[in-house]
Amino acid sequence: MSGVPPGEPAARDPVEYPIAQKIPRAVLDAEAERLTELRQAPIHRRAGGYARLAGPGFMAAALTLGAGTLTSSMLSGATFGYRTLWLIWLSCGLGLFMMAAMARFTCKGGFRVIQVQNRRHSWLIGSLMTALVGTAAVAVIFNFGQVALGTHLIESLAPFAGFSFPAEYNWIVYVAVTSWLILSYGRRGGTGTRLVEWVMKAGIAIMIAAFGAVLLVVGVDWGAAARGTFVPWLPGGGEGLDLFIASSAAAVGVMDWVFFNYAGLGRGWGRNHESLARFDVIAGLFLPFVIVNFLVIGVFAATLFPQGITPESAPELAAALMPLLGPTWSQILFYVGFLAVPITTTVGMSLAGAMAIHEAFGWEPDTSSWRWKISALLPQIAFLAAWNARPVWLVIAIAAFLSLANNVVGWSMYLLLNDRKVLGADRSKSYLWNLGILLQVTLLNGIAITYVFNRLGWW
Amino acid sequence: MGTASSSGSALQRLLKRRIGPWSGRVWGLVLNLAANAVTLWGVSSQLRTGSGWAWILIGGVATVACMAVLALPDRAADPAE
Repeated sequence: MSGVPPGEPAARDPVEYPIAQKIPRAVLDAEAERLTELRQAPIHRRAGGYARLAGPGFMAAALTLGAGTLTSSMLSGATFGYRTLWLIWLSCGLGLFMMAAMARFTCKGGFRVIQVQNRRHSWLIGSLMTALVGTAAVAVIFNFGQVALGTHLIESLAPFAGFSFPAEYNWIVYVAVTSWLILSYGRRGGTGTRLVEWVMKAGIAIMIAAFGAVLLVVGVDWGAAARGTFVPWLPGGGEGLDLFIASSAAAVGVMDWVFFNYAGLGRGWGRNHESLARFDVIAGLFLPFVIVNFLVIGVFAATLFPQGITPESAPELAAALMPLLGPTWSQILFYVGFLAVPITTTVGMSLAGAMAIHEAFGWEPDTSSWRWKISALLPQIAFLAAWNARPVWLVIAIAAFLSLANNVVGWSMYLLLNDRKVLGADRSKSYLWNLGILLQVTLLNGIAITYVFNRLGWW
Repeated sequence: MGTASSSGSALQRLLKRRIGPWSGRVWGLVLNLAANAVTLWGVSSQLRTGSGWAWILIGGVATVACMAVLALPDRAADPAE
């Protein structure tokens, strides 16, 4: 896959992305050596080594596992029980084909995808639809949901420690912690990037440990869970189709694609990193996404579903769950695990937004510049959410509106992957790979079409 | 599926050919979008009036056909190969 025969040292590619240029050459060379060693190692050692070197995939998972995704899973569990579990692995699995394309663009192509879109498909699709609408606007708008949830969770946790800390004040802590992480990225010769990646991995581990422990407390109906995981089921009528299209197309979207490409370039990935990039997509993005959503659906399927309680917002869902969790420690654990969700998403989205803004305006990213800092901290305007709780329907409405751009960006990615002038001999030569991407593109089309039909009163 | 049969080659040539402003591949994506819309129009009609099966069938078959053709990769030999 890498094109480097076993035993031959992995040659480094020229590092062109400015964020990667801050990493000392010795560090990049040591990583290349390590990759060469791992290629000949037994599979379990290779997986362990890759897990330590991986990062952008975990960051994409942390970015994707945000307030919206988790609220949707909580609602699914509370409303339908275990029956929609199959949608989780299907939706993220479909997204893997596109993420593999991003790995190809990053490692074999070595290019910044938005720049190439601008050149091949016009700035309307690259700078506007992919960078500004699909990534930067999403980062700003969706951060309102993260801050609202994060500050609410801090407010809910404080009484367990014996004091009150309302959202109107604790937003300062939320914004300070996330801003520090955001501004650490790309600093101090690459160690800042590794720090952020480590925090993202730790955030995912906390989510899995916390939700897993809570699920053990509330218990699992394994038979129903197995049926829900492998036997497709949807509610009848338009509701079922809406749920299918929205869930299956929205799990991994434009922001994840763009972020994976730029975060990989920011790590100095080149031709020899494609195996690592694919590992990162599966172990870093797919598995955490499936496991965390499975656990959250499981918790709500075991608690609120049997009682027929279906609150509408994440704080209401969490509050309704608390009396059913039993011991105090399991309530604290749930809140702590849940708090990792908005924190990691705010950090990931802000970085993706800054990368996209720089690409849209043709600026070179310099993480020590004021331009970078302002772009990266732009989504923090969402601190205003501490005073204004956001109803779930508004988040869903904005998501639908932004989804109008996603299918066109998906077309663009599919075309780039098949473009001989862009990738040369490294373009897609696989029927199955193209088919997987087309399935996702068709579902994204479905989102755009149902949105338009909705506006016209036909849906 | 992806073998270089004569029909496959003809379709691959069609995907590469420039037709008006765009390549065959782009037109294929536009056709796919139209087919998706027809299918969903059929679903919408079925849900509202109970008479949308014909549209679902036409749109569904067209969607499958578009995807089957668009998935064909460009396997022509590269200069360096």
